[in-house]
Amino acid sequence: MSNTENLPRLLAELTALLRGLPGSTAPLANTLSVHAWGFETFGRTDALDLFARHPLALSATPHVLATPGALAVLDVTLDGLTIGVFADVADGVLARLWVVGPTADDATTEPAVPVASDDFLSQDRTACAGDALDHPALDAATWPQVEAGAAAALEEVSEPAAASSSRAVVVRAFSSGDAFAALYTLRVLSPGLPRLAHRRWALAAGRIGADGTQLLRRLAVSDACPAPTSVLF
Amino acid sequence: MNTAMTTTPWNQHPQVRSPVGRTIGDLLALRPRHQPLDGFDDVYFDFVDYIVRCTHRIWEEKDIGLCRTHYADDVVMHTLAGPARGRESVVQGTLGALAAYADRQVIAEDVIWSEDAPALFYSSHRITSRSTLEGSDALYGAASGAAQMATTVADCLVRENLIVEEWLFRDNARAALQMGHAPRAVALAQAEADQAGDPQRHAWRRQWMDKVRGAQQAWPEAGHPAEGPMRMLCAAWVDDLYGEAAAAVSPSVEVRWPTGRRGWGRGYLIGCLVQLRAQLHDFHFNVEHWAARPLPNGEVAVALRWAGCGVHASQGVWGTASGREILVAGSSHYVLRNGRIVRDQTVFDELAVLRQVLGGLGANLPGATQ
Repeated sequence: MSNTENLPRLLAELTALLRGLPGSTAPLANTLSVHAWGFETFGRTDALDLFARHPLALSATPHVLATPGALAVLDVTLDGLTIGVFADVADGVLARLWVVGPTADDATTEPAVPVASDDFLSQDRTACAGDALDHPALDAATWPQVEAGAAAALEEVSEPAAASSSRAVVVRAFSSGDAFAALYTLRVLSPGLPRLAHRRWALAAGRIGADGTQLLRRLAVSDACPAPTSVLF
Repeated sequence: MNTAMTTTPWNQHPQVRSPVGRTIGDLLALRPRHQPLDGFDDVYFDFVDYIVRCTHRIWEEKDIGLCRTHYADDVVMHTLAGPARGRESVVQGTLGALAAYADRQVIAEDVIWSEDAPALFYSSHRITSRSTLEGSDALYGAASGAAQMATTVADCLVRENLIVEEWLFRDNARAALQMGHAPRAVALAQAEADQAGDPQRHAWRRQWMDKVRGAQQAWPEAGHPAEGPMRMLCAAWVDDLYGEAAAAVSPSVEVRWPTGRRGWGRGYLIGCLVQLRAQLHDFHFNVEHWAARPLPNGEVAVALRWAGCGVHASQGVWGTASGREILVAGSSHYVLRNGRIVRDQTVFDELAVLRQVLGGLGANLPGATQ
């Protein structure tokens, strides 16, 4: 399902990076940032170190979608877990990476100033934030399926979308022929009090029939990411 | 005063590429010059290369003496903790930093530049630096093996290979946390030190605030990509129309602000803007410089250098209202897709803000609060 001539090379580089092979010479962006296993890293060196500690071996036949600016992979681990990988590609170089999967036992996140935010800006709430216009590589007719992927991701984490205050933001989305891929960040709020929030990632990929209906959808949803300790000045 | 007097179209010289998405080998490769750069050293093939390569040579290759051929003798380096003046102060400051943190990697995230007058270049260089405390730091003590990974934006005005003026914004509160220190305790010690000695050395702060209060906002020429982000910031911090500001932003906007603020969506961006503004009464705000450059995949990068000031009269993230007048200055780097903001990375020195809140940098002086 490729539409880029660079795909075999990019997949080989991605596979080498994910396997954490020491001395990898894969041409990665110097600013490569990674969201994986509950960590966020910045820079090529830290990315290589992360996957050396937490390698991921893709199967021989993962489900792959690509455009010149992005690459999406859905795969199933030996444990039967669906896992997603999404990469930004800039001028043929892996520039940013998300692994949508479990959170490592040693995952940590930096302290952060807490910010009070209203995700909805209205009582007329929708479970999916995004706009097809912000994703030029996406066939706009596919947008309802991207929104449906958001609802499915929220349901996967036991959050009935219509009744909750949780929300999915479409971070990336693109089409490739009759298929699409969308990466979401989920802010999941607990239904009771206190209203505790946590963040997850989700990756959906699907195929659209000639009449616009969805023929197939695959979905990976990450574990909850570690919540940052609040910085109180 | 607004300094942006762009004479060169923002997207001229497309061969001068952003560092975004490039490998380190590509960034450091030597090439023939492909942009007119009168008076620049032969080794630099374009202005982005000048910024990235001279930073690499000085900080990573340790040729610190190159500061003497890359900074003007009377250079002024503005920070929110006060200005440093003169080329030798740049040399000495670099030596001191590398004596404590020798392994500093200066990872160029982007260089958003403009040619503001013939042969007068302006760069907004976003850097994330990784470094380990293996020496002795005046602020954070002896070698501890603690590591910093803080983001800096260095805005430089450059003529004929020399940086003639620089504005440096660093996420220092995040760095303090990474070093295992409470930002308030660090800021308090600095504020107490500020209250000793000649108070005139803090006059720069009053002058900068006076400039902000007296400024009339200038605007880019029609069609310049910086106009949208400027209107967004002014809608928020001049008119307090946060919903209108957010309407100019993608619903999927990624927001990265100082001291670990990370989020997605319009509501989160509004949260950051309101959090700062809510504490500062009688707030004045001015965008002092703008620039824009093309990015890969059809995106556009915009850099805004801005300053704001107001009276810390409401409690908030910086603690109980101090009643002091506070200066905040920083840089916001935006990524535009289809003309809309999809990423906001804002950097200001929140440690220096706390230092003012606690009476440092001259904020305690009579007449410092209006």
